[in-house]
Amino acid sequence: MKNDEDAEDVLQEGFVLIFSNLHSLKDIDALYGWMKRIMINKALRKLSQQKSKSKDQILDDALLIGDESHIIEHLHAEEILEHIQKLPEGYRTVFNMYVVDGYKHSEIADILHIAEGTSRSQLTKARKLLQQSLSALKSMLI
Amino acid sequence: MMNEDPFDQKIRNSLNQHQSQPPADMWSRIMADMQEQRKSRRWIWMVPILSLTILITAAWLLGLFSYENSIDNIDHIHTEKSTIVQPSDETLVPATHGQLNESQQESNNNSDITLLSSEENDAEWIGQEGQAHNALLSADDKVVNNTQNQRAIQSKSAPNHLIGDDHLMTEVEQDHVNTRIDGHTTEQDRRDKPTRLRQDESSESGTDNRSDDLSNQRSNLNRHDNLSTELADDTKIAEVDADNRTKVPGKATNSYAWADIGAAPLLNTESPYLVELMPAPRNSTGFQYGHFVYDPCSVRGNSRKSRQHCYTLIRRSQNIFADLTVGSRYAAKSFLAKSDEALSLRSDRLNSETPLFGLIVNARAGIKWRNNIIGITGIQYAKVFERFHYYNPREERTTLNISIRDTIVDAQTGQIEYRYDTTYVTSVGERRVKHTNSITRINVPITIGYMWELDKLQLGIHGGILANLYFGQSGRVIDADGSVASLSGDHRRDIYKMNAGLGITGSAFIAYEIQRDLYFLVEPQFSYDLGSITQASYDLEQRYLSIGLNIGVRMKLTETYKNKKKLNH
Repeated sequence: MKNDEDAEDVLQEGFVLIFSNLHSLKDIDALYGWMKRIMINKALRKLSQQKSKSKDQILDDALLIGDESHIIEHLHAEEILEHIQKLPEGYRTVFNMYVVDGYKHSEIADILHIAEGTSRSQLTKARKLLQQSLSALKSMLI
Repeated sequence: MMNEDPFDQKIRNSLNQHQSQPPADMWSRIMADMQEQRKSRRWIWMVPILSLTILITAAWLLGLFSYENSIDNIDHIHTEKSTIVQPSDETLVPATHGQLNESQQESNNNSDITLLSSEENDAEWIGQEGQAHNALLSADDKVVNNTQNQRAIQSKSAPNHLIGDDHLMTEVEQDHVNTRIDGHTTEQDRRDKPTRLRQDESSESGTDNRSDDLSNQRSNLNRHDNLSTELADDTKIAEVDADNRTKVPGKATNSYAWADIGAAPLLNTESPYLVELMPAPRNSTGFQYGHFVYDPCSVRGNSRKSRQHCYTLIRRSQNIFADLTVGSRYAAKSFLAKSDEALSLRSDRLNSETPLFGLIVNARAGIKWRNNIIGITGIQYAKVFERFHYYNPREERTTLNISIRDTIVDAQTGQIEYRYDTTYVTSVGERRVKHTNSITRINVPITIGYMWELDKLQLGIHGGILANLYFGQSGRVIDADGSVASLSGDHRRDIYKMNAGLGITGSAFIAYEIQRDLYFLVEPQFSYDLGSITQASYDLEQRYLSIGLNIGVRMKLTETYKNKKKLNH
């Protein structure tokens, strides 16, 4: 989520949903996955309700990207999250689902009702944009 | 993720260790939200319940209660023209019993006279333009209903029957009475004209009572005198039905083959059920030849490569659901005349019967396969109400009133003599009969269709056959001879089949998920009789087309199985 208020709303609504439907969970082993799925769905619904007013940035595919992997090691999680938050909504959603939550492209496509190819391209563009952002940070540090 | 991007991996690793503290009041906010949701959930339940209540109440208020049955009553006859009072006729009645010979009894059993108990509220005297079909005896009214034809017959040869306030006099007793009406009726005349007698059991018991009373009179003169006085005050009522009513044909029974609606469709292709033969226990006196074993697993493949395969009762891709709906419907009927002569009957019935409304209750189960095909079956209760309205502006009724004027007891022989007065009253006027007819059916629908499932919405259509299990009816209809026939009771006219047979049905539905796995269901539905619901001997073919709206709930049952662990090992 882009801000703390929205994240708190999702957390609150997600837990209400979890507690309300806890009785329907037959397999306790599936609790973690079930909760995670509920939270993600809640977050996605929240995002779709907000429906980003600004259009997604068009990335310059010709942008030169260096190896920014090492800089991540020097960043705190909050700083990384801050950069992820700056991603356009569509890219951020796919990036979070793929990289953080571990969904496959086919699953993302199914959940977000988009083509699998779209999920892949969104992820590629999200990566590029994030690397661009981190590259700028790198130059500042140097 | 085998070939994971190192960039992605580093981000995941750093974020996985990240923890953020939720706000301190988060727990209280969650609890407050849950309290709020509980309150609102109560109202969600109220929606279908309230809808059902409104629907049923409205249907009953609009249809049934707005229309009161009005069985024919003497008050509805406005006597307009002639009232003919004939001079009284004295009749000598010997009261001895046991002198009736067999020939007399036979003649009574074949009497044309129709006797109906005064308790028969549903009975009606039905006559149109001089034809008599049924007869009404009312002790309260103290009249004898008759028509012109009846009177004509009676004036020549027909016997009359005496009816007290409490019971009817039987033909045995009646025949024993040397009654002479208008100076024409003799005992010999009655023997000459074989007649058919219909008589209630109540009247028979009344006869027995009367016989006992009279026997007692012989031995006890005081008691005898008391009875005589009582009888002298009575006004007796008798009725003669001279109409040769159409004989009621036998009930035809139609049976139909039934589709197997067992659990077979729910199972996978290979049956997991085995019958294992076992020897019966030595001490057993029963018939234990084996027992039924359910083994969900079997070994498949060949000796080289085999693996155990286990069944699940319901595949993950199969969704089972159960519906409970209630609905209101409009049932339009069509008549087809089998001959030109039946056209007037068709017209009469169309004019006299108006559809009111119908009620329908469905309890059924369905299965949805992976390709969105659905199969549904269950039980359906349907009731259709109709308004019957009969009106004849030229109704004519002749009543015969017989009253005992004197009772004379011979102190020596113990014989009782009755002296009667007879009076004819002819009433002419209009006649109305109003009644709410109903047709009740219990059906088994077997349908297939297609269902689309969206986020919280289900849309679907399905259609198939409707097999009738029970078919019953009550009310009034106009008969071929223009009379009003009853569809129920002891004197019913059996024009309908015992079973309505097969019909077709179809519906579209919208279901909205109001709670997890619980849907609010709205379903327009129609059904149509494939065959006529009337008996083969009836002049008309009759079919119903019902259109209505059902509302109710759908429960998804698959979730119960969904989280079960796979049986595959």
